[in-house]
Parts: sequence; structure tokens; C-alpha cells
Amino acid sequence: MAGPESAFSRWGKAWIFPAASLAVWEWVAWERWVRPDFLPAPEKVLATLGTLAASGTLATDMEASALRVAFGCVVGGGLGLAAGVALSGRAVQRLFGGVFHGVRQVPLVGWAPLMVLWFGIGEASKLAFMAAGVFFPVALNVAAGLAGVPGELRELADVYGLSPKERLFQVTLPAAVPSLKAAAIQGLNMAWVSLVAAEILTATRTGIANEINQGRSQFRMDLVLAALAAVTLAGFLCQLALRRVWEAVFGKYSRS
Amino acid sequence: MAATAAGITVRGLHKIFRHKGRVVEALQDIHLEIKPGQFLALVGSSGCGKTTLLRILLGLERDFEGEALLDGAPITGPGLDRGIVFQEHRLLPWLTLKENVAFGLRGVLDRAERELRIARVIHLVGLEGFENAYPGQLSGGMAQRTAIARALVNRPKVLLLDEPLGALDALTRLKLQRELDALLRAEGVTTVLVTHDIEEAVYFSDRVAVLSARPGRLKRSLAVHLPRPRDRNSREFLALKDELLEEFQLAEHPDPDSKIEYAI
Repeated sequence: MAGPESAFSRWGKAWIFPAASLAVWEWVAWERWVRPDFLPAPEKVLATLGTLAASGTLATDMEASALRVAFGCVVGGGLGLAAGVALSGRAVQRLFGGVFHGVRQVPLVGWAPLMVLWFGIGEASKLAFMAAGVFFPVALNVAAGLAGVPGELRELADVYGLSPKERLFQVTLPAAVPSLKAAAIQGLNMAWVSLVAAEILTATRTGIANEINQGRSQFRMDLVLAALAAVTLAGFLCQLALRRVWEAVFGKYSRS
Repeated sequence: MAATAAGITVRGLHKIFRHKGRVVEALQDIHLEIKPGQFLALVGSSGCGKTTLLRILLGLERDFEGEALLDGAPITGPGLDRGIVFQEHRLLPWLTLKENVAFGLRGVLDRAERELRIARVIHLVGLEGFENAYPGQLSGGMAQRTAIARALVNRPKVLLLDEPLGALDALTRLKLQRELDALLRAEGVTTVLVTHDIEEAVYFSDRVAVLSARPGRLKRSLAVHLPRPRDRNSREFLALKDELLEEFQLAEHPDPDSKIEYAI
């Protein structure tokens, strides 16, 4: 069909599945096919979220969590970027590539006992945990992007006699922008995933997963689901913001 | 306007490639003399080493035996005295047409001079008005013209063309051949064209060198003295074309005396 896509076709379709899922959830809860303490109704979860927001607890939780996410992104992302740049070189890749790819196979939660032992139950172990979570996807994507600059473009840099600095800023980095974007998106995603893991594993009293821990000990699944909904929304908004900012700053490098 | 054209001398050139323990002789005992301002075409079937020879002149292949000289001095690496147009345009997709031309302009810092040089070559290839377009918005022909502009912006003494029109559709190709021919005559730059299109070779060249495959050897060298712009349908043009096609046993009007047998 010709003509511009309708607004529904572009945006509306994304809502069909969530809306249908919500309707099924509501139906199941309404008919009491599952015990309400196992699966609270959507409106119950929403009400709990409202209470959390009204009491100011949600804001306090989110502030603590957002700070951790920011730390994880800055430290894990920075180290990941440096490691990725290093790993894109052949010599470093040969020396450390095997170790890197081996270690990243280990699920992060496997390290939790050691992290707690080394960094204590406090803030330090959470931050170390998150930095590690962000580190791997960032390092991996940056290394792949820098190593994957097409040979034709490298040759072009040779032909025009670019200095190493010119080569980096005029050819390598711009060509790697799509991979750098993937690094940022996956790093940010891992920041929120490892946040929840870190906060649950250290039985934190601050941050959004505190509500999950509370919900678990008090057997209040509405609280657990409300907290998960808050994390989901926060993570989603972060991704949206990242994509917008990225497009504005680096949009032209995504041309093909 | 152009910088002084350079002469190219190739003497006793050998080039081998090693592949999985096997030695492949890419070029064997090549001798060439290209006078300043001359246009030489290298033709041959694929695998004959014509692109390798061009890459040696460009300075990207440095591991060879024999001599490759530019104005008497050995070629040891790439340099701004040689411009190159590849078969693919190799424009940087994140730069505009003008920025891509500017990317090629090296060693000129004065802003006014830069602007002048860039504007001149964009005018030469007839792309005024498209300065701010990105490569993804250009047709294949326009992208290749941009690549030609980029190759000329340093005022090279030698222009190397590696099947620059090979990927274009037939009509665009004919049009660009005519434009490029006029442009190169005006610039007076020494040019080496690698092509597998014999008509294209006769159309452009002062001399056509035929390479045979494996090992790549200089099989034939044919001077073309026709006046430019050349008429592709003139008797002399067609005769030269046939003479070259015969080297590949593909002549359309074979000499009745020749004893070529066609196996199907």
C-alpha cells in the first residue's frame, strides 16, 4: 500500500501485546484462577505503586538505585571502553582475548559470594557488581566495532597518509559508531539488570530492590510486582533517552 | 592548472603471493614505460595481476622484486602525488560530498586555498549544488564522480584508476567515459587505468597493455593514435578493438586466415 504509515501502524501496534497481556492477567485475577496472594490483580499492584509514590518511598528508592546505575555506567562503561580499545589491537587480543571471553561466560551472580567477601555487604560490593555487569557488553562491542572497520576504509587512510590520530578520529571511530551505540545500549541495559541482582543479593535496605526484598519477606507479591514495574519503566525511559540523545549527537554516523 | 605530470618506469617487476604454503606468481618480469601525461590502460582477464600492478604503483604493495619508479625515484609507499579511484567509491558515509572531497585534500592548511581547490574539483566533475548530499543520497555515477574529485583534489602527478566505471550501469558508464576523457585531457595528468572492458581501454588510452593470467605477463602493448574524442564506431576504432579481442580469442570479426577454434 502506498501513502504514509498511519500513527497506529507506527506506534499503536506496540501496545497490542501489552494490552492483551494485561487483559488476560486481569481476567485470571478476576476469576480467581490463581490465589490472589500468588498473583495479585493489576489494580492491586497499581494501588501499591501509588502508595509507594505518595509516601515518598518510591522516590527515595529510585534515587539510591539511579545513583548506583549511574556509577555502574560511568565506571563499568569507562573501563569497558578502555578494555575494548585495548582488545581491538591484535597483540592485546592474543594475550588477553581468551581470558576475557572465558570470564564473560560466568554468570555475574556466580561472583556474588566473592564480591560480598571482598567488598563487604555495603555499597562497595553493589557498585563492583554493577561495574562488572556493564563492563563486559561494553568491552565486547567496542572491541568488535574497532576491529571491524572495513579493510577498504583502512586502505583509504593508508592512501592519504593519515597520522595515527587522524586515522582514529577521522576513520576508525566514526566507522565504529554503530558498534559503540550497541555498547551503550547493552551497557545501560546491563546496568539495570545487575542493579536488581546486586540489591537482592546483598539484601539491601536502600534502592528499589529493597521493596522486592520486603515483599518477599512479608509475602506481598503486589509489592514485588510494583517494584518490578518501577524498574521496568525506569529502564525503558533510560533506553529511550539514550537513543534520543545518541541520534541527536551521532545520528550522521549511522548512515550507510 | 594541474601539477606537472610524472613519468612511470617499471623494470623487471616480479610479484608473488603465498597462499596456504603455495606460491602464486602474480606478476612476472613486467617492463613498462609511461611518459608524463600519457594514458595507459592495463587489460586482462580476472586474476592476471593488473590490479596488483596498480597497487604497486599506488604504494600499497611493497613486497615485490624489480623496480617501480615515479619520475626516476622508487615508489616506497602511498603518496599524495598519486590519486586513486577504486571500483567501489569508498566514500565515507558519514561525510557530505564536499567533506569527502575535503577528506582527500591533505597538506593544505590555508582555508581559502582549501575552499578554492575543493570547489574546483567539484566543478570539474559537475557536481555543484550537491555539496551537502551524503553518499547514501547519491546515485552510483555521482558517487564515482565524487571519488574522482577526491582523487584529483591534491593535484596528483599520476591518476590511478582501478575499474572505476566497472560497477555502473551501461548508460551512466558511457556518459562518464566521455566526461572523464575530456576532464583528463584538460588536466594532462599521467593516468593508468585497469579495466576488463576493451572498448573502454581503446576509448581512453594512448597505449593499451594486455596482461596474460597466471603468471601475469605483459603479452602485448598496442599504441592508439586516434584523435579524441574518439568515435567508437569508426573503422579504425573497431579494428583496434578486434585486434585486442583477438588476444583473448574473442574477436567479433576474426581474421579469416586465423585458425581459432571455438569450443562450446
